[in-house]
Amino acid sequence: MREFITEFKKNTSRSFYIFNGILLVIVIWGFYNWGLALTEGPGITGGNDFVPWGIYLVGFVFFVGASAGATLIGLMIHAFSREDYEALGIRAILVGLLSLMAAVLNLMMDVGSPIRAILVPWVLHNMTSMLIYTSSTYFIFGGLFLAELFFALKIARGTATQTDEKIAKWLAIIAVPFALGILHAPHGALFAVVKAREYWHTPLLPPHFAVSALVTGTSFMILLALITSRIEKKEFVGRETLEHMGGLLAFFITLNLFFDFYDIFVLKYSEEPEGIEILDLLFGRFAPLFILNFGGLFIALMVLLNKRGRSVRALTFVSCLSIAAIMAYRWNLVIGGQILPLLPGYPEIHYYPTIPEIAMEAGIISLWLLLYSALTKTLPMEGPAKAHEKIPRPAHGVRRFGKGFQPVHTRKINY
Amino acid sequence: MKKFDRRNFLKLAAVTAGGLLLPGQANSGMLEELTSALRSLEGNKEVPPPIRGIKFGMVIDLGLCIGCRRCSYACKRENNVSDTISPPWITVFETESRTGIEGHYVHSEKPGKGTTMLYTKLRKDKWYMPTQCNHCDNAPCVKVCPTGASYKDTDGLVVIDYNKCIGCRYCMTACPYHARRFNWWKPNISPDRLNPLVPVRHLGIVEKCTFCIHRTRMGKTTRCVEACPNKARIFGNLNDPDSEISKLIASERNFRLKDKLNTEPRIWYLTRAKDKPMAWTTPLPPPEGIRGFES
Ligand code: SF4
Ligand code: SF4
Repeated sequence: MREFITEFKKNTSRSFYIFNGILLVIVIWGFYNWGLALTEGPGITGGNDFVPWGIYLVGFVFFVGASAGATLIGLMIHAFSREDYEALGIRAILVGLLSLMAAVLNLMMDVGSPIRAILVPWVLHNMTSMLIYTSSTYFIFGGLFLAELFFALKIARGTATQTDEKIAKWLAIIAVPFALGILHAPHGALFAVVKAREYWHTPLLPPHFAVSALVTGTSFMILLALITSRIEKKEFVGRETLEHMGGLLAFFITLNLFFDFYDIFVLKYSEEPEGIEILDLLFGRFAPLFILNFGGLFIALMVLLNKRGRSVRALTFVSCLSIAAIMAYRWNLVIGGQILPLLPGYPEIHYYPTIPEIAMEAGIISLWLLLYSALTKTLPMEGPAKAHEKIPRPAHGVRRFGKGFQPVHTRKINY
Repeated sequence: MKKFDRRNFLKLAAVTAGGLLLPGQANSGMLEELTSALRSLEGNKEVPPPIRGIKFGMVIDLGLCIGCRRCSYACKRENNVSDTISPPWITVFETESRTGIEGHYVHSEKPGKGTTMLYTKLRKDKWYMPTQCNHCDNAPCVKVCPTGASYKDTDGLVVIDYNKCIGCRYCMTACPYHARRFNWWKPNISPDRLNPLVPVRHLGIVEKCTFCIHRTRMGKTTRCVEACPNKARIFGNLNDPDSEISKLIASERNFRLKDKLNTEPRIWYLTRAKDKPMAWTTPLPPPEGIRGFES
């Protein structure tokens, strides 16, 4: 223990303490506001009877998406034998686990009686509710991530047997269909089954959610690789890996744009009264977000398709832009879907998050970052063999089934 | 000092964190929320049991409704609806057409044009249309409720068990009629106004029209029916073919709100074309302080 502490102190810079100190302050601020919401009332938030689901639901959906998207790295490593992704392996599991935690925290802050919410789904359950299925999956998914983490750490510490490695592999592979099909798509269904709201009520919503989860997940992992390289001052993933991630992102963005387009196209073409109202909203009050959603994804795609679009700087920009664009989409969907009155005769309805509400959301994000930086500092992040290698092997070459990528050459990149 | 090991420290830290976060009163309140939920697992004890063989329903005659808002105010008083809840359970709209705010709109290019809930004068050429929970037979709110707090009872009432509701508000997004209200603040009801027959809803849970469950299950009619000066509301047993409501539904031209959604509302609206009796020239004032209206 003592050795660990001295080691920790030796490896830790002052900026680490300052950064985490600030995060801790924000976390306390957020949780203080939660306490306030529980004692004074959720009235301190900006929610109202017309827009009962506010910023937490947007954050909730976003984090579930990030969690689902992060499983992609495990798939790359284990199913496609892309060893160059291994440097990201444990971090991706951490991202998934922490995002899941953040999503659940968002839900707990949202409900009026969190203490009672603990009884769902164990004691209180109504099997026709989508929320039962989504909330049960958190436990299964959390368990899956923990198991993945356990075996990945075992491998990293060099104590894993062959069976362990096999289990790790299969856990990582089943995590993906689970994440997209059982964790994230039902969140789309959560909204899609609400027939009262035209903007939500489409069978396209679950796949749309899954695809946008892949966009955020990939962007998240690109940013993570770049930022970690920056902080640790070493090349963290190779040039080819980055290019590959850029390619994946371009593919997912294309899919997402396809869904975005047909969503709007059908509304416009069919000209149902509610559809017209939604378009009025998207082209009117919500236009900046709508432009960010479409324009952001379009620009990101254009940059990625450009030859020089996969440079470090361009990738940072593109990842940030696509995360922002997906955030805008989620906002438009969750808030925009509710802000249209269901009965005519109400004046224009507004929803603006209040300071306590923003504090709580900031608290969740800060807690995420705090735990992430603490865990990456204390857990072994790379395998014993690879820990001594300076650069993870960049993969470039001919893809052969069963053999994975064969490194051909190495190019240096500047972070 | 030696005894102060890590486990003790963690315990202390957990207790302090929990204690600091919430004042003692709130802590005990939260415990009560938990135990009341467990107690109500055996059934909702806050309401009288349903009467066998009865199915409640309501008819609102738009040819008689003058939009005076008396039902809305009477309901608020009867059901211990706090001042922090606005709009109240019953919202009355002024509309241009006889079919009012039903699913199909008055002008295709501008949905609901000319419809308002904030009118202050009554006009003969307008139609008035109260809305509240429809106690849908195929209720989306019941379907989506994760806890089973919202349920459809055998007498046709959609009831919320206040001891089970976790305040997730899924039902509010799922109800096509904006019928549900959330307790954003602690209830604020003056003691002289309190109706002992109706439980007061606490912070963080959802409430809505109950069809005056504490009265109707005891053989009385709803408060809004009593309060209506023009007898525009008729409440009764749909299972009885001789009841007034059964006859009205069978004979008159009637419609239900957003019928195409297949929610099977238990409130029917009658559209008669006739001269309306405009008994009051000023209605009771429109609801105030509605969250989400002020920009
Ligand atoms: S009107 Fe709304 S709250 Fe009432 S039963 Fe129907 S869906 Fe539920
Ligand atoms: S708010 Fe209460 S009644 Fe409504 S869905 Fe949630 S638990 Fe059920």
